[in-house]
Amino acid sequence: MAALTISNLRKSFGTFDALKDISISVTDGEFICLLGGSGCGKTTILRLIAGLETHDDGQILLGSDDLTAIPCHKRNIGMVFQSLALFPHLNVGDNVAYGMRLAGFPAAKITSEVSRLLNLVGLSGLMDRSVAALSGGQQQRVAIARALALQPQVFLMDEPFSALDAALRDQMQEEIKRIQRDLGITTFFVTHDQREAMALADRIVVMNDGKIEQAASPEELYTRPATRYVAEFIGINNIIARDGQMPIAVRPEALVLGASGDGISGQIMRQRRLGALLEREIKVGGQTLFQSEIAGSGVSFDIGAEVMVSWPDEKAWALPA
Amino acid sequence: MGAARMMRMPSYGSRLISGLAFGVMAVFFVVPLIFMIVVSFYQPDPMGFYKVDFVLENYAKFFSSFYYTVSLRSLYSSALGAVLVVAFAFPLVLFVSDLSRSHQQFWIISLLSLMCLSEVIIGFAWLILMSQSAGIPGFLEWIGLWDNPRSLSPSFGAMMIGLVFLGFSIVALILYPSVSRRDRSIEEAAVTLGTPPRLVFFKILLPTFRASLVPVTLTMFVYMLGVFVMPTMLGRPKDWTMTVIISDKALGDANLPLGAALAVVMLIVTVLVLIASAVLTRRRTP
Repeated sequence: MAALTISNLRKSFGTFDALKDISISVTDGEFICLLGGSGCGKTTILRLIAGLETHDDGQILLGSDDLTAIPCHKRNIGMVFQSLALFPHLNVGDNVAYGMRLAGFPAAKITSEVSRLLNLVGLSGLMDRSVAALSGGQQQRVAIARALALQPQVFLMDEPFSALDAALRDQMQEEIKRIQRDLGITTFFVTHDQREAMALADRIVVMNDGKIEQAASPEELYTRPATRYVAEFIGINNIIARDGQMPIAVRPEALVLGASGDGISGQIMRQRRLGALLEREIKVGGQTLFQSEIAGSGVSFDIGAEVMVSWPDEKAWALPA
Repeated sequence: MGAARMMRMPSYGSRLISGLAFGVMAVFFVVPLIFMIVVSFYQPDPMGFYKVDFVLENYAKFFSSFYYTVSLRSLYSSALGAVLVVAFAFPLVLFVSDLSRSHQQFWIISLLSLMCLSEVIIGFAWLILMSQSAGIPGFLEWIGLWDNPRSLSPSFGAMMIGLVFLGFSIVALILYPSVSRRDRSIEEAAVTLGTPPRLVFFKILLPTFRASLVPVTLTMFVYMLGVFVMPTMLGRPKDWTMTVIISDKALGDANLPLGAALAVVMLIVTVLVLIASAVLTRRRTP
């Protein structure tokens, strides 16, 4: 395991600039989530670290080694692909053993390692099973075990849970977090799901248009998004424009409604109850604000009611325009 | 509701299509086959094609050294041709499938164009290309690589080139859809696990596509057993396949019963080879 430093990384595909001057420093054993929409460059970063693409400019250092001088097959970086990319002609055990056999490990060591890894991912006893006969979640675990087999210095995962249903995805998120914590391996995890990133990461790198918008802990990202894009991407959908001043961001649960008093006046356009949560849409000037509260915890209003909207100063923060 | 009750009965439309398909098979395949088997037991008639009888001498002749050797040679040249054509076509299809869309279309149209050429035209083209003065030998002499050029045909090698050329576009077009839709990340995964890029073809692509390559090779094997023009145009008489000999006996010598008996034996041998290949392939599939 080792720290990874990416400096001024650039990559273009024809006229499309996929990465524009990316720099990140990752500490040993850190779990990084690269978060962003389609085409923002997050998978490109992963592929450059793995050596599946060559960069145009910049540097990737693993410890003190310049990775860009090392070909992909000699980097010893474990990667789980979005499609999983299991070898269809090999069974579960042979898939996991593939890298070790290629590296010339002794047969006894391979057998014990395959058992250990399958045990780690909860697939003991399925060594001889065809990969085609496994469920989506089990295939996912084989891909993880295979990528970890050579004890890689860095572990890369490219939207590995995107094809799983919600329940299985939650389960796999817990599993991967446990494995990463147990092994203490430096991990990059690509996702477009902010909830997944929040659940997994030590640090989230939000990307947009080939650039890093913000790299911060989940808590900091949620409470203090640095840009309007980050605020919107992580679901803070109240960005209130102010004349001559920077817009401010306020989370829906921070808005307080009253029939009178201080604040700005608005009108309730919609409200719906989602279990214990009550969500409202309030029209304020030309803008719609979203407010949420525990049902029954505040004043009741009918749809169409005129209300005063306010928020505590400490729960609002200014965003760059 | 039981599973049996939930099964839908075939509609009248599908029954009609099945019946038509069976009828076409019966008229164009089964009836001629039965006729061939029946004739193979007839007595040859030097004045005509055959006399109705029941004799085994036509089959006995197969086991004479000549026919026996020809049939083995036919199996050998067809098997070699099938393996060679797949060995050349598969890497080319892999190469083409990684090109841009427009370049892929160019290759597909080129391969389709090759299929439009008749076997005779292809045979003549290769005859000219392999001739001493006008073709490849003349060119090699001109660039100084061959001092005393001679015609490259007829020869076993020339016949194999003809067979491979004939099957090339067929194999390439059969393999193209599955190869072009393959999951490229499987190859990338192999590289991240330490496979040098030059070995990905042997370690990953060949085993992954074995399930497609084996049936295509067997199809080509059967196809090449039946090729008539290439062996006669590009091969020496000793390279001629059983197809040529059968035709020679049935039409040239007017000995239809012997031709039919040889054809029946070759059919049985071919079916046995295909069954053996299928069994072996199934055993090795995980």
